[in-house]
Amino acid sequence: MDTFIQIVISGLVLGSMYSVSAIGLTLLWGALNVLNMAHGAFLVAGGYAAYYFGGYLGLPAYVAIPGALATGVVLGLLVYAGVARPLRKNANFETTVIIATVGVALVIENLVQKGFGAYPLKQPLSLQGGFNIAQTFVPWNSVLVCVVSIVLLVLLDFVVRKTRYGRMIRAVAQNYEAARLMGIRTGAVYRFVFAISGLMAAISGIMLSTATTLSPTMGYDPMLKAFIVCVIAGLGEVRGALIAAFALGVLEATVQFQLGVRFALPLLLLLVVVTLIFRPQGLLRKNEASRL
Amino acid sequence: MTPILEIAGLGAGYGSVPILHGINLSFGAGQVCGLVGPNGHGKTTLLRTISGLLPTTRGQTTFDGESITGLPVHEIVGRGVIHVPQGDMLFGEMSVLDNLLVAGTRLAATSEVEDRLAVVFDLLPRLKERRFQSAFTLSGGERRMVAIGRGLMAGGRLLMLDEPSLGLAPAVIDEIYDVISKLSHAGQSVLVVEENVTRAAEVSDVVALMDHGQIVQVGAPETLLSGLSIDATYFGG
Ligand SMILES: Nc1ncnc2c1ncn2[C@@H]1O[C@H](COP(=O)(O)OP(=O)(O)O)[C@@H](O)[C@H]1O
Ligand SMILES: [Mg+2]
Repeated sequence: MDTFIQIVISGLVLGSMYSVSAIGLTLLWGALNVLNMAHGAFLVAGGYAAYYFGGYLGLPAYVAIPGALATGVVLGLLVYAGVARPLRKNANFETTVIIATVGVALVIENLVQKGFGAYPLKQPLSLQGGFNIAQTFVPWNSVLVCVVSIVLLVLLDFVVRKTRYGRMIRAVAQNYEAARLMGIRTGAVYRFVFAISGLMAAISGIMLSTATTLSPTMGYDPMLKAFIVCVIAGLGEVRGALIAAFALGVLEATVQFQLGVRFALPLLLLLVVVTLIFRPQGLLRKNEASRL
Repeated sequence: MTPILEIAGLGAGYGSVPILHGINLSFGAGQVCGLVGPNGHGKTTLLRTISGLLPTTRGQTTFDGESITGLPVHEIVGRGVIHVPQGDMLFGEMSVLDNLLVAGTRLAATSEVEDRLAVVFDLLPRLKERRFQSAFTLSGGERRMVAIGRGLMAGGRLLMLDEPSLGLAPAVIDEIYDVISKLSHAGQSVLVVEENVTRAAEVSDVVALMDHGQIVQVGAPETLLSGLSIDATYFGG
C-alpha cells in the first residue's frame, strides 16, 4: 500500500512536470514546425530566474515567480525575433531552426554557468512541509506542482480549442497560406505561440527546481522526457501530450520503485523505439497528417 | 464609375523567373470578370500577386481607387480583396463552422460575425447542415462551398475565385455556378479564374484571356467566344 501511494504521487509529480514541458515543445512544433532545441535551456533560465529574484535579490514569491515567468516569455520572444523569423523564409526552415536553437541553448547554458556557477543550488521558493496519507509523506510542493500543471493544461487546451486565438493558431498550423488569405497576421500568431512556449518552459523549470535542485544542465533530462512524450503522443498533439506525460510519469515511477532507477530511462527509450517502428505518427493520433 | 480593380503593367514571378509580363486588366464594381486561359499561363500567379502572397516586381494594383501594391496580405484582405485559392486549402481538421469563423477573425463585434454567418448559411444552406463536421470529411462540392463561404465571411468586397469548377462533376459545377450568379445578382464583384471558357462566359460581364503571362484579349463574353472558336487551344472543355 505504501509503495503504491508513493508510486502514484511520484508518478503524478513527474507527469505534471513532463506535461508542462512537453506542451511548450509540442505547441511550437504543432503550430509552427519549430523544434526548439533550446527548450531545456528555457527551463534552466526559468528556474534560475526564480532563484535570482527570490533567493539572490530576496524578493517575495509573488514578485519572483512572475519575474521568472516573464523571463521565459521574453526568451521565447527573443528566439522568435532573432532565430525563427529571420529563418522563416529559408527553404530548410525546419532543419536550420533546430541547429540555430542548439546554439541558443549553449549560449543560455553558458551564461547561467558563468553567472551562477556549475554547482547545484537550492531553489528558495519551494513550498515546505507536507502531510501524511497512510504513512506516506506527501510534500505540499508536490501537490502544488500537480494542481498548477493540471489547471494550466486544461486552460491551454481550452485556449487552443475554443478561443479566437486558438482558432488562429490551428489555422496557421493546418494551412499557413490559407491562414494568410483569411487575413490572419501570421507573425502575431508565431509570436504568441513562442511566448506561450517560453512561459510553459519557465513554469516547468521553476517546478523542477523546487522538486530537485538548480543546475545549468538540469534542462536536458526534462527536455528528453518531453521529446519522448511528444513522440509517443504524436508531435503537435496538445491533449495527447497531457495524457502521455502522466502515463509516462506513472510508468517511470513504477519502474523506479519496482525495478530500480536505472531501468526507467532505458524502458522509456524502448517505448519510443517501439512506437516509432509501429506507430510513427504517435500512439494517440488518428491520422498521420493531423495537426493541432 | 471607378473600377473596383485596376491592374496596370503588373509583373511578378517566382524567384528570378518572371511569369507575368505586364498585365493590364480592369473591371467595374458589381461586375463579374472571367479570367480564362490554358493551364500554366499565370492565372493563379496573377491572383497570388494581387492578394500579396507574391511580391509585385513592377506595375500597380489599384483596388477601389487606392493602390494596394506591396501591402502585406492581411492588409489587402482587410481592404476587402479576398482570394479563394485553387484547390480550396481548407483547414481540414477543423469543423465547417470553425473554418468560417477563422475567416471572420478580423471582425471585431460578435454580432457582425453572427450576421455574416447568417448570410453565408442562407446562400449555402448545405454548410449549415454540416457545420459541425470536419472539413476533410466533406464531398468535393461541399468543400468548394466552404472555400467560397470563407471568402464571404472574410468580407470580400472583391471575391477572387481560382477555378471554382476544378475537379467537380458537371452537376456540382452547376450548383457552384448558381451560387456565383446569385452573388453577382446581389451586386458582388467577382474575379473568376476558369480554364473552361464556356462556364466563365455564362456568369461574366467581361472576359479576359490570358496567354503566356499576358492578357491578350478583353471583351464581352459573346464577342470573345466567337473570336476564339477559331483557336481550339483555348477550348479546354
Ligand atoms: N511555386 C512556384 N514556383 C515556381 N514556378 C511556379 C510556381 N507556381 C507556378 N509556377 C509556374 O508559373 C507558371 C504559371 O503557373 P500558374 O500561375 O499556376 O498557372 P495557371 O494558374 O494559369 O494554371 C507555370 O509555368 C508554373 O510552372
Ligand atoms: Mg491555376
